Amino acid sequence: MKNNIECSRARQLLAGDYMDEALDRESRGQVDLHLAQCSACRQDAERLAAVARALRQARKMNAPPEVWTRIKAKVSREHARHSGFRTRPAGNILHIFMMRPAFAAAAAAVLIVAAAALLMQAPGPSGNGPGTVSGATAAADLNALTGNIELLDQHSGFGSRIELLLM
Amino acid sequence: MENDIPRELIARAGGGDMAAFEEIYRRASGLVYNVAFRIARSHADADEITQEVFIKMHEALPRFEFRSSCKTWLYRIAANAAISRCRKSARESSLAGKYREHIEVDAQQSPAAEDINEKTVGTLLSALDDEQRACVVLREMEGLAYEEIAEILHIPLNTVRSRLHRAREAMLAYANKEKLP
Repeated sequence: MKNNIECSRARQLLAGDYMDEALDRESRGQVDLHLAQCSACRQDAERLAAVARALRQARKMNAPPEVWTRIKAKVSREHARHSGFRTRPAGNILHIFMMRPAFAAAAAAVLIVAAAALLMQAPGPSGNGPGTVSGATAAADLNALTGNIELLDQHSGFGSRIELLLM
Repeated sequence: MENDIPRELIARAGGGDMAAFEEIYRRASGLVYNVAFRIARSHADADEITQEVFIKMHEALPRFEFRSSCKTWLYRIAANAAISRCRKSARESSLAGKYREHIEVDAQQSPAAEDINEKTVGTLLSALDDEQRACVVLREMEGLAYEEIAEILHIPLNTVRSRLHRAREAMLAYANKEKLP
């Protein structure tokens, strides 16, 4: 076993694996031997051990009772909120539009575009292909669509009427 | 990890059993609070971190997959929340005084030897940066192994070693200068 390690090497090992008892037997023996011969390193070793002891003996704290009170209140609120959402009828989608006007406006715009595309592609009564729409069918479809949009608009809280312009 | 939270308790809490969740809090809030307090060095921050950790835990319980122990998970959330709070607040220079102030308030109800030790611990930890302090708290105060610390802090094993090494050197220099402990 090589016994005469330098102070710098001894101190490097002391602050590392030596303190954690993770050194192999040979290295530990070298450090122990150095400590027996070097009072400065021995003093450092004693101080490091005292630091570790102070940290281990530090007071164990407990969270104050109001922390649990706040956690419990928050968890209960979340639980109630989620329960409320789950018990809402699945088919009742209007509440989404009522809560989010921007979403309602976007949905209305999508409906308009989709309806317009359908009307443009629907075959006419003479079978002339896309682009010709019977006046009666178009009027009925548009009336139904306008009714839906008005309903959405009322629930969105915008308070305005969406105008449909026929080209 | 030693004395981990039983799976059955976690499953019950994940299913909405509030009494089971309260039992988990009773068993684990101490470790969360201590880690948070020692790293963030403020009771107010430790209160908020503990609250944040357990609310996160309550949300995650139904999806908990037991890939790591529950305590490891709690240590991870607490330590990382405390480190990020330290970084965000950017008030390192004033914290040592704040910590000592808290210790002095606590000390009024405790025996003298314990007070002196608390003061020593506070000043020693204030000599470290956030990452070093987290490693020291988990190793020296919570008694965790290098591997557990690496898993909790998401860092390589050798980084745990080097941070502990540098932390001890810093504490030794501070202790020598201040004649501590």
